[in-house]
Amino acid sequence: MRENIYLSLALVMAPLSLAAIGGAPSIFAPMQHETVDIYHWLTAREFVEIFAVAKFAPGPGAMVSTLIGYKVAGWLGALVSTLALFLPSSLLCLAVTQAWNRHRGKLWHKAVEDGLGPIAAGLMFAGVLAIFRLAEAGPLSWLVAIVVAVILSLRSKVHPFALLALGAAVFAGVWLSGFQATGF
Amino acid sequence: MLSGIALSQIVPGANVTNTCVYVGNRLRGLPGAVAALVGLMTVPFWATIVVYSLWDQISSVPLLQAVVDGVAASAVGLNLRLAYVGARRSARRLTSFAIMLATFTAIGLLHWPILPVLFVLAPLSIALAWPRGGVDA
Repeated sequence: MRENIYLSLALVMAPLSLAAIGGAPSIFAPMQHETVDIYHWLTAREFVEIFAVAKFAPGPGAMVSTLIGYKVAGWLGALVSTLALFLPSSLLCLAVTQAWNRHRGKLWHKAVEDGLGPIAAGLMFAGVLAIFRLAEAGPLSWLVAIVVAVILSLRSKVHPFALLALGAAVFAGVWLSGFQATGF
Repeated sequence: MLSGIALSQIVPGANVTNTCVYVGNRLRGLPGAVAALVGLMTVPFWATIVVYSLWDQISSVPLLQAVVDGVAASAVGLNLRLAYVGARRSARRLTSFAIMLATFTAIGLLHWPILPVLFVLAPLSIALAWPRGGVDA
């Protein structure tokens, strides 16, 4: 059982590595589905916490995989999970780099770029839905998410960290006022 | 470098690591790519685990549960913006919009396995995006 867990982690993460068109936000939906709904490695709550911590900590958003591995099987699990998520895409990147430079400015560059664009967008929308489903997100979550997206559209220079802090402050404020209202 | 970034966004995987592999490979070949990747990943790997361990110690405080919900909601907002920008830029035609919708439905609503879905949709989408008058797809 114990040795299988590393294999299972690798088998879940490696395909996601190759599917992450547009980066980590594209694979949160299947990652959530596999680790929470199918394997029951994490509760919904734990996934949301890991998602938030990974966004908060330095490094790519794909570090979610590191934390899932850590949660499931400790340090070794973290290592296996991280490698499984980063190695296949890196190898593919290496291979594509060679081919790309050999055929500079070819017709298919643009077709590939244009063709993968809408797929990446569809995957990212799926990821947004998946995480909100887990969090049993209420109107406040949707409101904060939309406000954050709008702020970023208007002022692209805003540091993401400031927006994460904003969300945290809003939720903390609402929780505190709710607590005081029902506190007696 | 610029085409490296463009490439990194097309090839699956985190953009930073792909850019890193590209640059490392350009400068020093395969050993360069490996060194760049290990260098880039080591600190975040430890840092993320340390932050999570700290979080684990204090996560039972109810106020902090609200804070984590807030951070998650904002983080989803950041991703929502990425998705929106991507959709604005790439799903302008009816066909590409249909591809986006099909991807969302298959992955987000039906939870179909992602690689088989992409094996069907990606070539189809690329064929549809093929410049008119070019080589037949």
